[in-house]
Amino acid sequence: MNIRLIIFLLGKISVLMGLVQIINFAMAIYFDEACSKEFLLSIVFAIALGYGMQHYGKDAADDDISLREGIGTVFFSWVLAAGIAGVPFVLVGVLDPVSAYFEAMSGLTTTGATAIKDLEVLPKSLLFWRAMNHWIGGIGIIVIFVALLPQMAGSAVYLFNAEVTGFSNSRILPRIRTTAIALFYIYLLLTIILTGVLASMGMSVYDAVYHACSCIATGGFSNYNNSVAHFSSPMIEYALSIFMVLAAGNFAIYYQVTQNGIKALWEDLEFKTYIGMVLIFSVLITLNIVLVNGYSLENGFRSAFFHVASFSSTTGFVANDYDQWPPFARMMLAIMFFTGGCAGSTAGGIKICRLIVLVKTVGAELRRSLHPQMLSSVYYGKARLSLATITNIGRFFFMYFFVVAFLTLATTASGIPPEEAIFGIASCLASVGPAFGSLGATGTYADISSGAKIAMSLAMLLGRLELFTALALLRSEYWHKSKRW
Amino acid sequence: MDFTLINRLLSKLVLAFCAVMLIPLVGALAVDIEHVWLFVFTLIASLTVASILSTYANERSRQRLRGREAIAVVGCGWLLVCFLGSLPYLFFNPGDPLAAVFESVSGFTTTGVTTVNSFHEFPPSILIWRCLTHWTGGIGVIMLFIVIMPQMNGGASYLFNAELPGGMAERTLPKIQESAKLILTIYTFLTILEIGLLILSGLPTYHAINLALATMATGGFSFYHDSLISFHNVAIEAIAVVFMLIASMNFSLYYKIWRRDWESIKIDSEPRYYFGLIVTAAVLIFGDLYTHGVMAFQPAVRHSLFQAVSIASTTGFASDDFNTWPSFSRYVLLMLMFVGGCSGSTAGGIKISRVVILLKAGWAELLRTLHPRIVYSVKMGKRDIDPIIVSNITRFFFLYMFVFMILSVLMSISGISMMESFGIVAACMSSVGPAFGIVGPTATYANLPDWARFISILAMLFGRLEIFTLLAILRPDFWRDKQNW
Repeated sequence: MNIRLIIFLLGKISVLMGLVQIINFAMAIYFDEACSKEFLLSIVFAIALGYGMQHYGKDAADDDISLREGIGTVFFSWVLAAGIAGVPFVLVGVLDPVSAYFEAMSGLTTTGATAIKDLEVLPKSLLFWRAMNHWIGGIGIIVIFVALLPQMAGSAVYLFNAEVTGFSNSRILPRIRTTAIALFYIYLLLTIILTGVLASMGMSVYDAVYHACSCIATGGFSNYNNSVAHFSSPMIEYALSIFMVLAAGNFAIYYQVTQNGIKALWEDLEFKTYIGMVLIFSVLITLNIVLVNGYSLENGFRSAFFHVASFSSTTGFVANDYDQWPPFARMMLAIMFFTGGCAGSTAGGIKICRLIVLVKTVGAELRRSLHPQMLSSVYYGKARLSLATITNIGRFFFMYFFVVAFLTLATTASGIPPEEAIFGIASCLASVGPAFGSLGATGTYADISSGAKIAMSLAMLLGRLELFTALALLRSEYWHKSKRW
Repeated sequence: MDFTLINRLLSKLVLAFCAVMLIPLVGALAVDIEHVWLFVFTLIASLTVASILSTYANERSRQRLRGREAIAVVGCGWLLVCFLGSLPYLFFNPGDPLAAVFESVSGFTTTGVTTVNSFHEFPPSILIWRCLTHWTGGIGVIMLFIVIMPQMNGGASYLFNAELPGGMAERTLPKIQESAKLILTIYTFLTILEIGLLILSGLPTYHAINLALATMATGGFSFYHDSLISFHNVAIEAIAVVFMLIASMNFSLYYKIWRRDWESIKIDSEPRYYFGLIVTAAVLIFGDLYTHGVMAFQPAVRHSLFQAVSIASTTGFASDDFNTWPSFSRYVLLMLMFVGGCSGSTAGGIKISRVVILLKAGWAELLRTLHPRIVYSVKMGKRDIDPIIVSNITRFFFLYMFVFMILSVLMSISGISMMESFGIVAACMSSVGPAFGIVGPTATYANLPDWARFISILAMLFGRLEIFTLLAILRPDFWRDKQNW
């Protein structure tokens, strides 16, 4: 394995993470805030670190990236990027290092779980750094990297595949770089549209940009303590709901929409299923809270739709204290910790496409138990799925639950009750953010122990990299020097 | 589909059921003559059913059992016995038919939860019947998974290590009967051994029988509603631990010991994993109880071991109110509930062998992330596991979690809190019995609303019949006769 090459690439990421902080530095100066020195320090640190690493690895700069190096680069670039992104929080003195890492990881993985108790006293430039983390992490560090750095294009395929979500290869264009650029433009376009929409509904420009970045990245950070409930504006809630649902759709499909028109959307099984799920869950929750909590029909539907959109897209905005809802409604929300959004989106979770395949394979298995001699194959859309894909998905499903179970074990050890720990971990793994109880709608992750924060940061990272990319590093074969692979 | 064969087997099953029913009848004649009529009526009803079935049966039908017919016999037989078994309770208290069915299903599925607040409401003959339902349910499960299921192709073959040496390749009824008789002998012998040991340790004969019948079936009905807490007797707890372990291990192991087949015992690695799991869980719980100062050293050892064995074997006895233990301990117990005991035993849950194979498959999948074209096989002990079985197990896991989620959601409709809904469904599906919170070890299911009790019944049946069987007979095309298959 070519460690120098990995370090060289990580150095570039570090420089990139430093350069984007110039925006925050400029904001700090514009708003005349005291934290401009700290941002300057943080930028210098990141760029110096980046150049140091590039210098160390410069001999390997022209080597090709293999699959193994791709996995390593992606995993460590997320670990490193969260470290660099956490520096401003520590320098300004808002958070201790572990909490800062948690906050940065939560930002980059678009989770949106916060360890900060009171947001509204923080300087605007520092708050905006959180939204920027979401936005950078949402499209993916690697995608930005590939799109911006032309010299990477040749061997970027492994990097790209290790970071893109879902099981099918969502390369929409023959070349990785053009794919990355297309995705980047769609992402940017959606963000700009949402900013305009929100601003026209009465948000200040700063708030509009903030929530647009957070929403399109399916993150969930807000600059107000009580999240979207701060605005108490039905229009804003509807607008955000719709854009959250859009952000959980497959960006590759949106590219096809720009090429082939809107019908591409309705030909996509996953998107249809996702929309169907959102509607069914919204209606069920509406019924439940209207009947039990006495919401008015409009208010009930709006709250239900908003939170279904927020949880299923794994955003985690809160417009209402859903902890007061009856168990059935909360249970429906909890299920979406596991379903997640569509492949190729910024949403986390198991992903709808995987669940569709799993349901289909079980159907095939039931048919086969009745007709033992029958040969059945599973189709997804028009393509027949290979056995390797089906196997992979089944194992992914198991590993997902295993990781939840294992990390919850580490979390309950610090004394958090099991029910909160399970949903906290599930929420972080699916990159939702809020969970239930003390980690719920009105709570934060500020008071949990450092051990639990580390476990949850790990959950976020594993969830964002869809387990296998990150867990593959545990295999001793990964670290072997063997040339044969 | 050969209905005459199914009818013949079902009528034999009902006759066997009547034979078991004679025991409480004799008991009632001896101790409470006023309740004899409960059992007389039940016998009359059962015999009527048996004779109706046998009129539509063909005595000289084929000796071969095909997969579909076996599924039909197992599914319908189980439902029929649960229904007939509820008749004594129903005659005793006609006001609450759901409670009667619940009690019967809980008995036959060896779950061991009750809807009765005080057992002194029941006459002794009914109490005998309750424990006998456990015992017959237990032997029924062993027969199902060791003797009947391996006869089937396709969907059921995932019970990979339930095979018995010799003769099992031939799917003829006389062979099945031979091994069934041997299993029954072993089961009876172990039960009598436990009764003897319990009497020696000072328990009154009647209690000893009750306890032994419930232990060998890994059931959990107990004479007192606070389970074993009120005995305060270490010897009884020790005996219970040993026999819970025996009952939750594969009965083909005892068959092999009987045949002195030491070679294949050495190959079987499932017991090693099972012991490893229990010891790990007990040590973790012990550490948690001891360091949190919940208990002194000695009781902590005793209760952690007892509770780990009781929950992992899905018996559900309690030696202490684990509901009041710290969150980490409760979480470990919850996880044990999901894992369950060994395959081919009376225990429920996902089963050790499946979990081990899932873990190994997941681990192997990580290697495939690194080397996409690698060929590997999952091994258990020294045996290669057929890839088809591995994928069947992953499908089983998906189905288990899917049914678990659906039932939990349905459970929460009745207003039971989220965690308790999860706990009840988990405890019922893995046939443990007591869960946490309102259905903790010192409580009963008596206060649950009817809807929740109905869902619990479904959960118990789904868990016991390992989902596929029940889903298969619920499919309409299962019953359609097609000659070409």
